[in-house]
Amino acid sequence: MASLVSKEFREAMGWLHTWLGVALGAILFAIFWTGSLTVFDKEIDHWMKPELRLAQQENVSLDRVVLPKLASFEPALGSDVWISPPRDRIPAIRMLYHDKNDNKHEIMLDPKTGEKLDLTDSHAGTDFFFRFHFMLHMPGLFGYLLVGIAALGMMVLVISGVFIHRKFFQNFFTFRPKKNLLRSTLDFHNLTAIIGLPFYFLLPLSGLFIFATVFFPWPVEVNYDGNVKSFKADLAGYQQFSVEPSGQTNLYIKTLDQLIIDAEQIWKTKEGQHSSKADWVGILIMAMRIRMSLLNGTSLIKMWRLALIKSVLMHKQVKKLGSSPLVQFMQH
Amino acid sequence: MSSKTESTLIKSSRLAVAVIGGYLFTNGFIGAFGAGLHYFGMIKSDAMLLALISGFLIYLVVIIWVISTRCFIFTSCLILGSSIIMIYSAQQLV
Repeated sequence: MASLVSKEFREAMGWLHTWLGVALGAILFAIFWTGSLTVFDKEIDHWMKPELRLAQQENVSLDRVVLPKLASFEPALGSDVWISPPRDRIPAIRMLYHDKNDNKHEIMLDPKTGEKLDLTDSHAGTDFFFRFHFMLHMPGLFGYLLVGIAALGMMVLVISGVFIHRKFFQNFFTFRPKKNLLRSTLDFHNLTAIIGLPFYFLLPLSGLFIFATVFFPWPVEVNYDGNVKSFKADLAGYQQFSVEPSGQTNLYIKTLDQLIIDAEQIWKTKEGQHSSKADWVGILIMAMRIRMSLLNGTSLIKMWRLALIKSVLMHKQVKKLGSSPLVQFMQH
Repeated sequence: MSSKTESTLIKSSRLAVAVIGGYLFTNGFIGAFGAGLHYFGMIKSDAMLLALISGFLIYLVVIIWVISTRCFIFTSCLILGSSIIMIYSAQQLV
């Protein structure tokens, strides 16, 4: 089959493929390796932090276990409190919060007693491998940008690699192990590259989607009056799935369990309804969520449920807590 | 691009325009495309997300284009000129 592109174009792609491969090969290997390990981050946590090996608890009452703790933590809390009930792979209650100086903290609570777990001092899977995968443990946004450049470079590598070959199909499916070492390894490179081609393209692309606003903040700021958080809240559908509070204006929230029941109820009424989002945008969002759910080991349906519960919780808390430092973030 | 005869300076310029010019172009594209979609009736968050997602593919195409084009100067001017137009349009559309 004759070549589909000009010789000049092929040469340009060859130059790009070679030098970009040399420049980004090592960093891409580190990112992919830690990404693969991240699939098992919770299991690595269990291995390195034995205190997390707890028996599964069914139907934990957040009112009984978490709410009293929340009150005792309150003086240390700044804004943005996230509470994750025990799940299959994380049998403890996970709580994330910001302190008064806006530093982020993560603690684990015993689902039986609500006591804070004294964990082994290790970064383990979720703190080391997971974070390394997308920010290389570098200060500020530097790591994110470096990973972003590497991801974009990976996409360029894939595309340029396809166009290097004069005879597309013949080159892609040829393997000559008995030729010289260079020829054999190059054949092997082509063969393994073509087998995983769609994955090698979509892996960096979906990674870039997740941090799209980090790489391109300007267009979002222009469209959202300088407020990227507003775009994220809009996108998460907090408005779409919000519920009206029952009229109380108490400073402290009375019941988390009831909020979850409310959220479940809303979920049931929304289930099966056609989303207002355009279908093809929905498919792209779904692709991102599939990736996220694979990483977290959670089913898609569960992801939607969690997102919905979270949005309802946030909305009600904002309305009920007023200006409490517990949830100042949610008013943004 | 004739890779054997082209000087290092030209190659570096190609890379610089591809990365920096491409970034400007993509910023303009996302801003204008997102604002445009919203202007024509799409939900704002969907419009922005679609623009952001398309932006990465556009950036990729621009990089490949600038690296491989025969008319490097013309392409560079085109990229930079259209970036400015799109950035201005994005500001005007919102």
